[in-house]
Amino acid sequence: MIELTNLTKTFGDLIAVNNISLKVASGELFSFLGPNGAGKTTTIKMIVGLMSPDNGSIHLNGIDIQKDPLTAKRQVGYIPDNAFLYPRLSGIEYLHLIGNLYEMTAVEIQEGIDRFVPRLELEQWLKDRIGGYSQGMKQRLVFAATFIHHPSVLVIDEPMVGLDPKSARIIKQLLREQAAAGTSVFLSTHNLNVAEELSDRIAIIHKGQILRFGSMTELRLSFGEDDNLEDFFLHLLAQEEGQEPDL
Amino acid sequence: MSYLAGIYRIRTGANFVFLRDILRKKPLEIGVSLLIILGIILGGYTLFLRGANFLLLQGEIGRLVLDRIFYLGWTIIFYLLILSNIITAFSTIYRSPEVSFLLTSPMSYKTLFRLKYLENALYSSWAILVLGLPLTLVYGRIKEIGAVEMLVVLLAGLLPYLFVATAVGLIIILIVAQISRWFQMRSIFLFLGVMFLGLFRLYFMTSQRGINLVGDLGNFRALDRYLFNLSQPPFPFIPSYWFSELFVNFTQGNILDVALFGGLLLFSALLGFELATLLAGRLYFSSFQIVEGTSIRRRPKPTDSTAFLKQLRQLTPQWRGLVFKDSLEFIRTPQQWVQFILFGFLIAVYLINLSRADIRFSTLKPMWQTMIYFFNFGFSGFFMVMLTSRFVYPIISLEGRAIWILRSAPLPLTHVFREKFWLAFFVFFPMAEAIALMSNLYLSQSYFISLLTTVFLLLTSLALISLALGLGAVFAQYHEPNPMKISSSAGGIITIILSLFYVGLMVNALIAIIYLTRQDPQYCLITLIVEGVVILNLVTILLPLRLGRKALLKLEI
Repeated sequence: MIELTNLTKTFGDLIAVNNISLKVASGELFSFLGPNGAGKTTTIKMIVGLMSPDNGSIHLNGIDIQKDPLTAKRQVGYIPDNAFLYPRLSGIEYLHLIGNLYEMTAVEIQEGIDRFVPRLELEQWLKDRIGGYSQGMKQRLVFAATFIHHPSVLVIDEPMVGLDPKSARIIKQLLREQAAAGTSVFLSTHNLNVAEELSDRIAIIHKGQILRFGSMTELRLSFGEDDNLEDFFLHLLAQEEGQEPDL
Repeated sequence: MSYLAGIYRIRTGANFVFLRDILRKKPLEIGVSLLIILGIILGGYTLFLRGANFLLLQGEIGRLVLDRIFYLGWTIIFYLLILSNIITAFSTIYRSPEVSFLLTSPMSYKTLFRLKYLENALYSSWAILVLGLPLTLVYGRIKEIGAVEMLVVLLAGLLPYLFVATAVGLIIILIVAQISRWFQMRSIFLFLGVMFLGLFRLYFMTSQRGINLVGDLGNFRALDRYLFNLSQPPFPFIPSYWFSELFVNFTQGNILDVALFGGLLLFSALLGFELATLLAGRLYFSSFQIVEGTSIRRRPKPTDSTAFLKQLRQLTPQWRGLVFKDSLEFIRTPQQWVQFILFGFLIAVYLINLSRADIRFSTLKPMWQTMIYFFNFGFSGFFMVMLTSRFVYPIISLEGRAIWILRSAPLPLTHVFREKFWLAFFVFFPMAEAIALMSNLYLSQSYFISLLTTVFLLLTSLALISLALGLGAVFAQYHEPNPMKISSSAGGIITIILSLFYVGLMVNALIAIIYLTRQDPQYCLITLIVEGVVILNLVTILLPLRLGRKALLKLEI
């Protein structure tokens, strides 16, 4: 479970995240939807402990990440957008590194590799150096490295970056399986189709604040049956900007 | 030529803006860098001036030796310039993103090559020239040339001299790039290196007749042979000879010879430039394609070094992972281990020279003995400073933008510091200790001195590694992948200065203890010094690591 309470983060005069509160239950797939600069990545970095909030708290399965970061991080799998990796390690060496950082045994690491590497179609590239990987291959490797240590909380920033359609389908399947197994999945995206297709609930964020919140059914009550999420999203943003929606 | 003029106009404007911005944003870094350069020039000037004055006292022999040193200095610089041009050329004329862009423009290959020629000459030359400047200033002073005259001669002779080195370097790289179609670049350069060393050895065998001045001084025949060789002209067909003759003749007022050697330099520079451009017209684009194709074709072989993890099974999983990663990253970065080997080579040269020097230590006066302790231990300390500032300081920065992996993992930051600290210690301390033990052996030191040196080196290693690691985290540059640039940043320079200051204090403390134990042992004073050493080391070991850890904790990614 992920619980954010009155979360705020400022950078000088800029309020990047403005008093956000939300809960993501176990087994739920939650999308954070918003335009560029809305505060999605900042929120995610606070959840995984890469940034500290100025106010508020973050609890992961009941553990405050600021008070007990190590215990909290043990449960989290984080996948950044455009992940920078160690270019001189091969894929399999990277997987072993991550496994060791999460204090897994050699047997557990190998089991994870055997389970996820074929699903993510990485076998052919596993012994090649990461420096020679394409963006899509790196993204799949990061997913593999995250899944092998069985996190109960998954935090993903732009999951489909660099993925071809086939890989994107595989990732979506894996995310649904993770949620079905009880993992809390928190993903941020500005891709409306991904949010609509995957999510149990969606929060629309703009300028650090949540504008709307709810399941697709609940959101459809806000906008007409005839409208789609894209129209609704653009309409909402335009309202916030005080502009006429360009539909 | 209008392309060139246009590009230079834009470049000049962009460089001006860049310089203006960097002066505004990083005044400390620029100030410290300029101070270091000035320090090197002044330090070199003082050292050479002392040496030159000593030689002048030796009469005509001294003057001949001085002229020969001037010539040798600029010869060595010439070869260094060629090497520097080769190294820089690979990035400038092939790997630069600008080259890919300009090749799609309607600019001829020759024009592009000319643009890169001038750029390469500038990038590869400036640092090496800083080495040559003190020697030249001293020589000019000895020969009583005015500052303005010296500047005129330097400019007149230096520019063509640089251009010749650039031409040679670029011609070599164009040919090597063509050959790399069939052979690996590494093999080609290895072959060229061996061939060059062989030619060098051949030259010395045929021209110098193997004079070993050190050790043969008491032999008049050897001295006579040496003086004969000194009076013979050195190899007259290389630009360094022409440059040094230009300068020497200028000091003697031989205008015709000045014109001759100046003309030779200018002619060879223009010839080299045209030759290189002609060759580039035929080879540049094809060699560019070969280099691009080579980098795609020759991917590193698939590797799986996970078996290495079994060797680390004594460590906890997190330490195992960190040691595994850091070791592989180091071994797979040729830039790192080649320089590491070069350091080892320099140490070997020092120790070999020490073993062959006939220093009868026990017969020396106490003052000279103390000086030797000072220099020997100082050298070990200096070596540790070089190692730690070059290899340990950048360690945290080299995590780069992958630092998110360590920060998001359930990994205490103290583990990160401790792992890097002990890895560095177990590699560098044995090296420093080997230098100290072997040098003490060659100098026939007592067991007491050897033991004292060991203890001091242990403390020095711990302190210098801590200083470099801690300050490396405080001044970390995660966006810079080049470890040499990280080491030479403002933070790196501050670390070197503090490290040298620390080594200075430790050397003085060690010498003081040795000196005081030799006289009527003044145990109060010795105890005071030891207490001071303990406090100094506690502060130097603990404080930087605390600061570094804090910096890493505060880091928001």
